[in-house]
Amino acid sequence: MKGLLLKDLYMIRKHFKMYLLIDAIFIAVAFFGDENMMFLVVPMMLASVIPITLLAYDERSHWTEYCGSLPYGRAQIVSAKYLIGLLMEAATALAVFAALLIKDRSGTVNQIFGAVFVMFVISLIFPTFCLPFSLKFGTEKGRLIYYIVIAAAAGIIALTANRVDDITYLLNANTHLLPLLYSGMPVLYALSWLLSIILYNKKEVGK
Amino acid sequence: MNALEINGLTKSFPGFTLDNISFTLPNGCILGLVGENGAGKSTTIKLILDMLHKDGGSIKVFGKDNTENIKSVKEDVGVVMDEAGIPDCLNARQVGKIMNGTFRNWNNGFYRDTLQRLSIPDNKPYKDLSRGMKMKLGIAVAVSHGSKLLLLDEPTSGLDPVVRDEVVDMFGEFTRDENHSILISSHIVSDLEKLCDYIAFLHKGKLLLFEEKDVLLGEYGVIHCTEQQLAELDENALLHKKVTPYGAEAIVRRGTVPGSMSVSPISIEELFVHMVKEETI
Repeated sequence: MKGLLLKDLYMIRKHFKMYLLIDAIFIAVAFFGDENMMFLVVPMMLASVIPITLLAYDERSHWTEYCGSLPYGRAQIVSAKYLIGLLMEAATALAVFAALLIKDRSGTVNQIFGAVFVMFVISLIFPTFCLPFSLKFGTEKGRLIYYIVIAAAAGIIALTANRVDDITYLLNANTHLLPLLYSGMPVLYALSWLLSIILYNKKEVGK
Repeated sequence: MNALEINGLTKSFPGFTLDNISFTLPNGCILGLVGENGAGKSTTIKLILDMLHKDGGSIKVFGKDNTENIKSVKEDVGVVMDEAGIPDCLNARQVGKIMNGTFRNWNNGFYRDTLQRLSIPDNKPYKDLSRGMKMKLGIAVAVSHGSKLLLLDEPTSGLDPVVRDEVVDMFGEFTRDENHSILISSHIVSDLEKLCDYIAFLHKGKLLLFEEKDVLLGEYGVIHCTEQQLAELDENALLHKKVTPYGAEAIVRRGTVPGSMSVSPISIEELFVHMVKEETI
């Protein structure tokens, strides 16, 4: 799978420079401004769409078919996209964590880690729901799910952006909620990964 | 051992069926899959690679079932498709690194030498390469991992005659090793005629003919005669006939027409065109 990951990293380096610039701007705005949380969610959301965008590039260049001729199992082809998604989200989360740590000296490392982890978990929603459909039906047809998830994510961000304190209070008051959120989304991500492998195994590549 | 054995291969899509295809590619030989666009050539190749799931029949590559051993099968197979499938932003050096992480037997030295020999720049993005260069890069990848079988889907389509000739020479070079085999599909029949030991004609998903090229060329010929002379011939001798106001032309089996009639050699292209025309007898 090393070759698949390397190919995606080359693609990211070439095609996602603008994403990195936007990430840097939002992290900088959060760093120097007051509304830090809202601005830090954006880089995470951008990182979460990278696997789907890579799939779209693969389809356009006919890599999807070519890859079918290389000695990779279908599970490996699917897993590469899930792993690259995790890698990009983890790297972005690390940058956001560092920015928060430097800026918000009042919070403890654990509190900051918790906030970033929540953002990380939320950023898993997009690939969790979109990847199985996009892998099975192609990114064109998978776009419907994309719009639904984007709309839902925008709604969640709009509802929660100015209620960070309320959410923190809610989570502190209900200690079982946080572990549920921490574990629930990664479990869904893993299930999505498994579902994608099953769907992609049945897919006719290059039909 | 046969490089490829296909028996009773069937695959149906809405509006198209690849119907009970059987042929064998002996090790060390080149088989040309001839057919018009949509005849089922690419479908056959994708079925061999298990990219499409067959409805029936069996496919063995070097004696191994292609679905049970697909990863190990693909280690031995080099593939070049009509659309090479390399992302536009990658250059040949990066492609080499990706393939190094893909194939167990990737030979980077051989790949670099091949790039140099074919004058493929290793730092130019794929999108900036000419069509011929793109195809040569695809071939360089296909032959640089110790592949014993090349599956080539329309590798010469869209190339100018000079590059086509170079590409055909590369395939000839590959098969100098007696353990190397090629299955090449094309509708440019003249390329296949130069290169192939065996010819398979596909038409609308059916295998019209599978035979050694020399046998085909030895067995069939063309006669030019009058309509009346044509009418006097045994119908079993005729494979195809065409009557025009200026005379008649027919494809015949050699030895079945009177010795007084001159039988001209036939090209594979003529044979194929005649065989798929509706007037075929």
